[in-house]
Amino acid sequence: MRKLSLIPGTWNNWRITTQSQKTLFILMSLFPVLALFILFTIYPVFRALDVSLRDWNLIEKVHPYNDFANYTWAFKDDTFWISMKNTIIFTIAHVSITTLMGLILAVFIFSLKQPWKGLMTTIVFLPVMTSLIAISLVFRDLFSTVTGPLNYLFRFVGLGPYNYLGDGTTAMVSLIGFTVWKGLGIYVVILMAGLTTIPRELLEAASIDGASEFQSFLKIKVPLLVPTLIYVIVTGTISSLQVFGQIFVLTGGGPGTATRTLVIHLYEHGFQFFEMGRASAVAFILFVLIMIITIIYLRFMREQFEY
Amino acid sequence: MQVNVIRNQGETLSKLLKWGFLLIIAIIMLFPFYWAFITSFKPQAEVVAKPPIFFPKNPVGLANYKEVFSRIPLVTYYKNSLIVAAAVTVAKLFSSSLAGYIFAKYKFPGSRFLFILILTTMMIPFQVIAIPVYLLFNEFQLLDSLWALIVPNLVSAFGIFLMRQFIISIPTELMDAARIDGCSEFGIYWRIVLPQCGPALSALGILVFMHSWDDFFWPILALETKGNFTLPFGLHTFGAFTGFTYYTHLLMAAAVLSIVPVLIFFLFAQRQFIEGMTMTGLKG
Repeated sequence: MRKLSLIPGTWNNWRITTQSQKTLFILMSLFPVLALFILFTIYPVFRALDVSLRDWNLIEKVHPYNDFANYTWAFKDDTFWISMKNTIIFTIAHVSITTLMGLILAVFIFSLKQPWKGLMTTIVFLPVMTSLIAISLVFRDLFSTVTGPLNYLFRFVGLGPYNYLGDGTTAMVSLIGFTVWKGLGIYVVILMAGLTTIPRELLEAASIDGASEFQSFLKIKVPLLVPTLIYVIVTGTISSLQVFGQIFVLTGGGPGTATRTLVIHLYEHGFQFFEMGRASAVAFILFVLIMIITIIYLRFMREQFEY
Repeated sequence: MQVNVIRNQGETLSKLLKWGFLLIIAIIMLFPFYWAFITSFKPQAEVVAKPPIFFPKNPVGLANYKEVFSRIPLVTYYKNSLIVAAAVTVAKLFSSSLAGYIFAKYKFPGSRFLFILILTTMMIPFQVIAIPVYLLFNEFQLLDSLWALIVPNLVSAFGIFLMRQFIISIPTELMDAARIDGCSEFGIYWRIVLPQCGPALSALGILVFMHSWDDFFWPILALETKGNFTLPFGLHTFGAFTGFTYYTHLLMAAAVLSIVPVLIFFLFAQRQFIEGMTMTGLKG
């Protein structure tokens, strides 16, 4: 049974658009797209799970199931827990600092008049637009105790010379500092967009009633920005958990294991030792972690999440 | 009267603080760029000088840049990055707008399920699928080629989401009118809907292009021979193997060559880029 719709045509009189024409279009368009999704996103998830359950070394030909050995290895491995700890420290530090600074900067820049507003926005956004690896190499030089200017500059404000990337604690601090520098712009821009949704009348009424800038910030802007703040915190958390590029280039996870994160751990086991099974297990653990956070976020936003 | 005076003093102080803070932030944001730029013009001796030199005393003109080109195949890296990023961008824009259009304007059984399925793939971090995709390409001997970088990146769940949200707001009457005029279904997409999608396409295109250009994790897994490297990978190799302390001036030149074209592009496309980023942050 075909559904027909009779539509007046032009010079060839009645033209019939059949349901099957539409169906054909839908099928031919969606089929390749879905096939690609299945092949490169959905199927790999299942395969990753499978690989994580086997002894899978790239060099060997046989990959037998090993009774969750990869997972027990992961949870018993000290380096794994160090990586986990570093990842969490990095994430909490990075997200909280960037969110706080981003909020303050967003409010400040938002209150500027053009052209200063646009200028500051561009300046703050410049690091975001820069290639991560290229600018990481620049920072490697900045952080260098041999060629870098930072120790010289810090002396003026009374801060002692640091061995930025060579000492465990300062290495983590330096990495966090770099990532904050790099990511601040996005937070500022998104929060500024959130600020535009606050009705001006509200702020004007508050200032007429004698509220100071700080009070209107605390009692009006921040509460109304909560959804945006949460979005920024959650997406920042998810991407911080996956941090890799700058760590790989700046410290390689060192010194020792001081800045080793989960993805570095994964990379080393998967692509330096070629222990695919173990690497896959670590990846899956990371995946579950991210899933949990995402699900919490989505449930929280369910009222505002429209289909 | 007295109250006004005090308020003014308070206002001036807070304005000063605000501008001071902004100035410090601006300097911090810009300093690394300045440092890379001037270091790229220093002779090797000035790189390790103490105290550090902030204005090159004997700038070497473009000598460092020329030396970079002779040491690493920078042009090849650029070419590879460009090919991959362009291919991926075109593919993702096309597939996202087509699928987004269908999810926006066509009702069929399972459309809701499929759309949500596609959305959920956004939650999957790349590291999980990296290993299986690596194994897949290994089995087909397609590693170490630009194909390995392009083929896994032809569709984008985020892109489909974005395009669907945008296309929903295009009046359906336009499509009906096109049907009446005898337009094919694909023709409606190609001739009517797509031209209307300008802003969404350019925002998405910029995001996709930047993401592909900057991609590092997958290329270092998939590529092996230098001739296939993309820019970030090539740059990292240069930095890792030249013992950076004594070749910093060259490294900075390479970094500048990496950063500047993108920055120029960004300054032109800035408004659309920021629009694109904020589209991700707010509900339509």
